Amino acid sequence: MNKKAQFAAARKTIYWMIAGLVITLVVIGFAMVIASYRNNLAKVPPEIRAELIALRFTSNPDCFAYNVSDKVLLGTIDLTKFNEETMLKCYSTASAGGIKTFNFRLKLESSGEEIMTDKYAYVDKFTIFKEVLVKRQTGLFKDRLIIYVQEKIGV
Amino acid sequence: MNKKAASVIMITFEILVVLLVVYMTVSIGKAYGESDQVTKINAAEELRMMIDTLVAVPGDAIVSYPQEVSKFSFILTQGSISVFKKGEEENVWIVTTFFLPENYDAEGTVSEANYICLEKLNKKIILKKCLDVADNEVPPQLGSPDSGGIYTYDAGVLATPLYYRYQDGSWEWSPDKSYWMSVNTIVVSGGEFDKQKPVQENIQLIRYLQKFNPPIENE
Repeated sequence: MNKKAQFAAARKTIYWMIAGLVITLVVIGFAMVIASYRNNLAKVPPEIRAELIALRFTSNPDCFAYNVSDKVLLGTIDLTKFNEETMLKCYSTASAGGIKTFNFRLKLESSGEEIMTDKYAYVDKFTIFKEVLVKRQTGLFKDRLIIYVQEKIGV
Repeated sequence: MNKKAASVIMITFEILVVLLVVYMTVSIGKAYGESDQVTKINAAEELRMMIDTLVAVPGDAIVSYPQEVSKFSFILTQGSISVFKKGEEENVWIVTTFFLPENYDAEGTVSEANYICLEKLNKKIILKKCLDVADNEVPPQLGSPDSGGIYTYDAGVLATPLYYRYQDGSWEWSPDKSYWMSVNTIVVSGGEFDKQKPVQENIQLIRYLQKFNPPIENE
């Protein structure tokens, strides 16, 4: 084989080595893009999840909802229940490693009273607002419940 | 070998490589497209959200998952819901977690059911098969028909009884035995209850009859 032919053969070899690598990377990249697209298809916006979890705070008498025997006043917060002890019974993240899931800080706007879940670390992602009534000793008062939501922290 | 022959071989080789790449990418796309993974993830996420919503409901409630899930099996435990296909390795199961208030419980296992329901009874959430009846059987809730072949179902004191009949190969329903609607609709057309919808229990029955159209023997 003369020099020209040797050069051509070597050039082709190098070309196919590079092309082979590039094609492999493209195929792998394509698979990753498809997988990522598929994961996005099934993704639930965290706002929806947090909103549904937060429903219990004002609707479930085992959380903060005011009840008179069997009758529950939806959207009414019983101030006697609005404490950390009740919060721990209502929503506890111990089984999921705490910070790896939603944590909440609840604040009544008018009075400034505030409680939070056990692994809340002031890393707010977004906020939910709920218009509520607050049952105090002196009666029912209109207020706004601000729910600060902390999403998963860490990997 | 002369130059022309060598270039023909090279062109053939290059075409083969292109075809191989196209085949691999199409195979990957097809594999992901046919996979049930997205359906399983959606089912697990939606059931989790349904459980969170049930926790927020004071008192008892029952809700059915609207999609047909006969391909999958489900396990509901105190803090998680698992969705998988029968025979699958546990490492490919889809598992989502949720948090119940203190003294709440969750349990249930369902396999190869067309429709599944979540029921909250006191502080217990139960996962079960909806309408515990074999497919293409008349639901037992309808009881026995009267002499005119009309079934009556009373969903409780707060609901109007609905009437059902099997006519010309399909089911119909009516709130008053005068205006009959096909089970393809859940809205009343005509009469005193015009444009109204039945309660959830009757809607479930109507959907069931629409889907399975159980025949009546000796119609």
